Order: sequence, then C-alpha cells, then structure tokens
Amino acid sequence: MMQLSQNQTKRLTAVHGWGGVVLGLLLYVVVATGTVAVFGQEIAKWSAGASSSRGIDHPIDAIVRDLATKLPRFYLAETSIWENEAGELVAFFHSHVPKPETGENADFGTLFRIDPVSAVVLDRHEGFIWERPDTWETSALRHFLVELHVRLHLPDPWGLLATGILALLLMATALSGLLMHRHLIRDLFVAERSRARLVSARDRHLLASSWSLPFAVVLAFTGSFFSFASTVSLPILAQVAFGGDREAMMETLYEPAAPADDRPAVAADLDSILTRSTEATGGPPVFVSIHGFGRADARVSVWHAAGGGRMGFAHAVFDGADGRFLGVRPGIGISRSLGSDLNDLMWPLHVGDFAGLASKCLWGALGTTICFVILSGLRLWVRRREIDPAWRRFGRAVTTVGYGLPVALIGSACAAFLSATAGDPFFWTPVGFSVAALAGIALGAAVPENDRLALAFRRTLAWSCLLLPIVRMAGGGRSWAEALANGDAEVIAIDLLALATGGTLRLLVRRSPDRRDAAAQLPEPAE
Amino acid sequence: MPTPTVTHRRNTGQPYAALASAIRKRPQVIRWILAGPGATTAAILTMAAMPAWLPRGAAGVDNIVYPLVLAPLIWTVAFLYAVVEPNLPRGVALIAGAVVANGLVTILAAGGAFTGSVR
Repeated sequence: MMQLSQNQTKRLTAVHGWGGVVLGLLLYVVVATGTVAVFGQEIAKWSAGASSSRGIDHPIDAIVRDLATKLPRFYLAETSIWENEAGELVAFFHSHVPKPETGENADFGTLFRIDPVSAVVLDRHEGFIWERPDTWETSALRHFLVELHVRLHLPDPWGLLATGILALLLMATALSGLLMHRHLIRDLFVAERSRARLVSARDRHLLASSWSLPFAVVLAFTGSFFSFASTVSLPILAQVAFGGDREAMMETLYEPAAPADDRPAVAADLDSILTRSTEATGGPPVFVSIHGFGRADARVSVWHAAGGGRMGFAHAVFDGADGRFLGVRPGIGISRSLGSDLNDLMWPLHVGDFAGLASKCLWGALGTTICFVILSGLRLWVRRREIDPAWRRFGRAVTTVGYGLPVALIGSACAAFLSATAGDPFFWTPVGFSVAALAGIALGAAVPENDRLALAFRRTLAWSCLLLPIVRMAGGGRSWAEALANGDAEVIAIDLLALATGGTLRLLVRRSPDRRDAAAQLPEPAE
Repeated sequence: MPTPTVTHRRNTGQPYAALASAIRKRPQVIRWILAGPGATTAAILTMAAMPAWLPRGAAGVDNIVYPLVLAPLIWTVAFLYAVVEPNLPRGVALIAGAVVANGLVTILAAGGAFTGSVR
C-alpha cells in the first residue's frame, strides 16, 4: 500500500472518522434504504398484491389506438406506455405545458390505467400527472422507500444535492480507509479476536470494510453521478458547450427530432413493433414512448430490460408511421461509443439489476455489509471516547438510528398494508414511518444505558419482523396459497425473510449476555 | 557577504516565499479551504472545461458524457490530494492553477470561443 507519513495518516484518519461522525447516520439512512430499494420491484409485488412481470406481454395496439382516437390531438404530442406491477397497462397521452407556479414546462395530459386482457379502462386522471404518484405508482411503500433513498423526501434540487454529498462522503471515507490500510490483503482474512471488546469490534469493522470496499466505491461513484448529473453537471455543461441551449444539448445526447411533418398518418402497428424490437434486443419490453402519435413524423422508442447479454437497458427506435426499424440506440448519443457505454453501465451498477434476482441479492448483501461498516465504524469511534458523556450520548444516537430505521421502515410497511383497502396508502405510509421513528427516538431517550437500549431495540425489531407478514395478510394482502397459485415467489420469499430475521433476532436476544445482566457490564478501557 | 546572484534570486523569489510562509503559518485553515471549497471549485471547473478539449468520439457525445460521468471522481482526486499533499504551498499552487486554467477555458468556451470544437 501507499507509504504515508504520520501526519498524512493523521489527516486521513480525521477525514475518515469525522466525516462519518458528522454525516454517517444520514449516510446509513441513504445506504440502508437503497439496499431495500434494490428490491423495489419485488417489494411492489409483495406490498401491492400485484402479479405482473412488468414486461409488456399483451397486445396493446388496439387499446392504445382506441384511446388515442378519443383524445384531442394536443395530447398526442407524447405518449408513454408501460405495464405496472399490478399487471395493468398504463398509457399517458401528454404534451408539454408551462406550470402555473414555476413557468417551467412539464408533462400535462391524460393517464389511463387499463386491464390489458379485457381492454376496460380502470381509471383515468388528468393534469400534471408526475406530481401525483397515486395515479401511476402501484406501491405506496416502494414510492416512499425510493424517495427516501433518492431525495430524503426533501424538495428538488436540495434532496438530490444532499444525497449526492452523502455519496461523495461515502467515496471519501472508503478511499481514505483504503489509503490508511496497511495490510489490505491480510485484513480480508482477519479473524475476530475474542475477549477484547474493542479489538474484536475493530476486526469486524476491518473485515467487513475490506470486502465491501470496491462495492462502496462503485455505489458512491454511481450514486453521486445520479444525484449531480441533473442538478449540477448537465446545466453547467449545457452552458459551456451549448451556450445554455438545453434543448440543443438534449438533441445531441438523445434522439434528434425527425424533420417536422405534422400531416396526419396512420400509426404503425405497435404489436408488430414490439415483436421486432424484442427480436432485435433480447430483453422484454418495459417502456414505450411515441413522439407525435398519428403524425407523419412519428417516432416510436421501445426500452427493453437487461437480456441478450446486455447489462443495461436497450433502446430500439422505429418510424411511427410506416413501422420501419431505425436501429438500436445506446442510452446516450445516436451510436455506440466508449462514453455511451460508460453511461449505460451506471444504472445497472448502481441498482444491481443486470443478472436477475442473483445480482440483486448480491447487491442487497453488499449494501447490508456497508450498513454494518458505517455503524461499526461509528461504534468504534464512540468506544474510544466512552469516558466522555457527550460521546456516550452520541453512541445512544447511533444505536437509536441503527435499529430505529428498520423499525420505522416496518412501521411504514404496516401503515401501507393497513390503509390499502380503507385509506390512502400514499398518505399513511410516511405517517407510519414518522410515528415508528418518533417511538424509536422516545425509546432512545428513555433508556440511558446503551447495551440495554440495544437489547430493547432488538426485541422491538424482532417482534416487528415476526408480525409483518401477519399485518400484510390482515391488510388484505395475498395469502401464500394465492401467491403460489399466481407464481409469485417474491411474496413468500419476503415474508420468510421477515420471519427468519425476526426469529434470528429473538435467538440473539435470548443468548445475549446483556439480557442476563445488562447493568453489570462495566465500561472497558479503550486501548 | 551574499553574492549578487544570490541576492537576485532572493528578490525575485520573495513574494512567493512570503506567500508560502503565510500558508505555512495557518496550515489547518488553509488545508480546510483547499480540501473544501478549493477541491470542489477545481472539480466543477475541470468538469466544465472538459468539453472544450475532449474528443467527441464516434457518437459525438463523449466530450459531454466523460465530464458528466467522471465529475465525482475528479472531486475525489482533488479532495484526497488536498488532504495528503505534504507540501501545502505546492498543493495550493496546484489547485489554484487548476482553478485558474480551467476557469479560463470555461469562460472562453461559454463565450463561444470553441464553438466549432465543442458543439
């Protein structure tokens, strides 16, 4: 490893430690919710009682054509089509209209939810649809989780900037940890030394951080890219390279608009386009976008999930009037280059969605390891300063957030389940989270001794996990028999995971020496 | 007695020596500024200047995509360099140099000086 002087090591230790102390708990919230959000699609199926693969796997041409004929031409400027986790077809016919509050252009139009088998319209909404997630999002729980991970529920752009700064912090702490490491290879196989509380904790922190280091860097790199690309980098690059003309930049980066021709034309058959697009790309079609439906200059873009040897999405483009295949485009630019390949890798590397459930499980496991690294690092920092009451209070805050966050997430899930049939889950899910979080904070304030507090939290978390599947079914969720009949293994898998976690925690609580005599434990010397 | 050559060297080096000495007098504050606003400004301006000199690639987008994707890495390099650099005046000179050079290129590019090569 790099040879560092004593002063350099001291400065890196300060960056590593103080960076964690100041923002580590928020970073833990972002990483923990991101780890759960990796399974967003599975959680949507589990929580929303849904049973779809999300791929557009029904004929859609007749349905879309019929709806389009009933709408004014203004709404046909852009059409977005996808299938949600409930197996419903969603079609959003819209145009760009300045928002009264900001004056900025936003998507305004009509959104239909349709039963793809019977072609019956289940629901219809008008307006600035993206501001109303209840109109297009299947699972309130998934929406809440993703928003917490991406924006910490802060308004734009502050939420993205906050999570971007946290991603940079993760990068700085991971790389400063790497530079400080004197024996990286040896630490990959370090064995825990028992009977020495602090050394043992340090061993566990080193072991977990050594194995998860490359993943932490990848996660931090891709996460900060997603946070800063739209808020900082693209506006600056538009100013420098395109004189502030964002439209010109978008045309360069994405599909340039076809020469304008607003003469009416019979739209090409969408089912035929989807079949040919799937043949050309491999993966299932997940999103269709039509520019200028029913016009001579119409363009149809079809996005496909990973498949056919690709890690990321594929984007196939067709002429919307005569159905000609115009080619497979990269995510950025009109032909492949190193830059577009790099850009296309960012999403699958961030969410782990490139080799089905296996890659997601790996990402979930590594995300959990990073959560452990953050919390164990904070605990180490506190243990070395345990003599100071202020640091002991901070240690209780670490325990409160460490255990309180999963408890609060389970609270939000319970609220989503119980309000699914009788209330508005988009309102009650954050309320459930807040109530459970406040209860956790109250518990943290009420129990003055850290080991007893951890024990109380473990008990709470264990029972919360054990009760979760029961609450889900009580809220009208599908039984295991129904899930099996529909082929939805996710429902049973997540229930079993909750039960196994709850059972393991109960076992740990029973075996915990703290339980037998929490008060008898004396603080140990730091070094 | 110093030789005339030595006196000459001392005179021309005096402002820099004074600056270096001022930097060395407040190492903690200067390092904070260098690793905080210094590294961030250098990273943002380096990213902003990149479309002016990077090749556009086969798809014509590489000069935009590279800075877009690499921005977090540029910040990380600048930040860690500011933390570990043992010679603080050299660190200040290097990061200030990056800020000035990339700032100039950015201003010229935003003003349309490289229109042909950027767009």
